[in-house]
Amino acid sequence: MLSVPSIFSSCAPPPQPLCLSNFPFKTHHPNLLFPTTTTSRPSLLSAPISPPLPRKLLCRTPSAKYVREDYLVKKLSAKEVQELVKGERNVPLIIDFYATWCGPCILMAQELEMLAVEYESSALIVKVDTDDEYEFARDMQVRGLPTLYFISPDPNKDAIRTEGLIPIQMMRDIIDNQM
Amino acid sequence: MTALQALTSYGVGISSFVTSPRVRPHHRRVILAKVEPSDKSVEIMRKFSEQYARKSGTYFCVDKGVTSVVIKGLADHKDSLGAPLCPCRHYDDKAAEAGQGFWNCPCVPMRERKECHCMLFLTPDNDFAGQEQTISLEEIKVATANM
Repeated sequence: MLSVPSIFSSCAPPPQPLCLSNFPFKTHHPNLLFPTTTTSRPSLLSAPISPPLPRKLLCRTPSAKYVREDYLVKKLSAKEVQELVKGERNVPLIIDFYATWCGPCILMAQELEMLAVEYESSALIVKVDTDDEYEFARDMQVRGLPTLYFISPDPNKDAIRTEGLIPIQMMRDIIDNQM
Repeated sequence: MTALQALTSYGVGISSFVTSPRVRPHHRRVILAKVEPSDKSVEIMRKFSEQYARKSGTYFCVDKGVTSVVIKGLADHKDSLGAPLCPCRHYDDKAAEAGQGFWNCPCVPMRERKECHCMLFLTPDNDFAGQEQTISLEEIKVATANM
């Protein structure tokens, strides 16, 4: 259990130790079969869209700007996250709980994308939209946004939760030293 | 008699054919999309944000995208709940929270201690605080165009 509350933001509650076997998974949302094709919210710094190829269209294609395959941090459903947590892993799992209209969540998303580039396959970073996965966010006691959960591959270690925007260096410290 | 029966059955056949014409199946495409807040609410929350920043001596974020997103979040809650509930929190019951008022913008932590975890109103000593207390509707639209 982490006993250094000073590294958390001033808005964070005392860190709650979370045992992996005690996650109350009570969501009723349908499973997404293809997690790699789930939509991700683009960041404010997203690159402009390339012009469409000239061709005869029978119907208007949906705008591609809301589906970005090149984001490293994928948006997952509650069920997919549960499977990840329960499954075999040898890297830390970072879950970012966010909401569409939460400003700091946008900054956090940018930081997490940078972190995903740095750590590549040494850490698994995913995000959950709390407006979509309402019950899952409630079960995970998410209050302030963004909330990050750092879950170690070692099932004996407690999960670490942070609330609010935290510096990227703090995230690196947690991954490197606490996981 | 047999001819009459045949005629009747033929008539029934005809009527049943007439009353059940072939229907072309209509393919409906359901499009799920996030609803944008109304322009009126965005304008109201924009003016409120400018006014409250001036009044409280706080400043908007250097990244106006953050400010824009939060203003839209407040407008969205104003549309759906009737009150600008803080968009940077998760609630068990949004309607109850909006009625209770603790997290209605300006929330109690902001009013009492100038703590805005949405990063909408930042005290001058905050690393993210900019120099401005104004934001235009155009800036909000441009910053949130990709969402």
